[in-house]
Amino acid sequence: MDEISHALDLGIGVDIITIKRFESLVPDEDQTFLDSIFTAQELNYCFSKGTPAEHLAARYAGKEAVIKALTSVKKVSVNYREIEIFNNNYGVPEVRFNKKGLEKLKTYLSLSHCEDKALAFVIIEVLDHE
Amino acid sequence: MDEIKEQVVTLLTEALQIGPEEVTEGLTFGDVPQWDSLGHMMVMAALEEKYGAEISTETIAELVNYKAIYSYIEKQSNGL
Repeated sequence: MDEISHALDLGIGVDIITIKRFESLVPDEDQTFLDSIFTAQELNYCFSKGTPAEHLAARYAGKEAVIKALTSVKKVSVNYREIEIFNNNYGVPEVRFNKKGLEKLKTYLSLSHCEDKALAFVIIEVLDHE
Repeated sequence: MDEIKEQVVTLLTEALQIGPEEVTEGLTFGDVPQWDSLGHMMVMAALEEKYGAEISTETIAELVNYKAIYSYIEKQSNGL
């Protein structure tokens, strides 16, 4: 199993979070916290929705899952803002790294939520095999 | 209660929404359900707002228990 994992150079990460924890967050009032986690583009997207909390929660879970997956393939320290989650032209969430040195990673992300929880699953593939 | 201890208790109870009786000198990240990764960022944001200084990723990773936060506030209070 280890040999297969090493040959493919894949990392996985998963995270789940309670949506309620994001429900009381308000721009300006909670700006320091929001800015420590999310990029301006992510905040614009989430607060343009009728229910920002579920979008904030899903993106937070996505970032946590990315960090877990990254940790399993590379010993690299990234903060939340260096991981940006955006929707592509088809509405599919994708990951963009705002940090140099991570260009050779292909990230696959899936987000989901139900009434009270948001969940993210991530696979990271290292493209520059050594 | 010394002044810094009071600040640590206030910080952690407000940021984590826990009772003051839960804040002991041995309290560490993960000891209460509220102090998870999200709760930790709430604590860090509260610290940044109080002292007006951005906390680096490395320091965020170090301030994971009562004593580390106490020392950080003590240094900030002394202008170090």
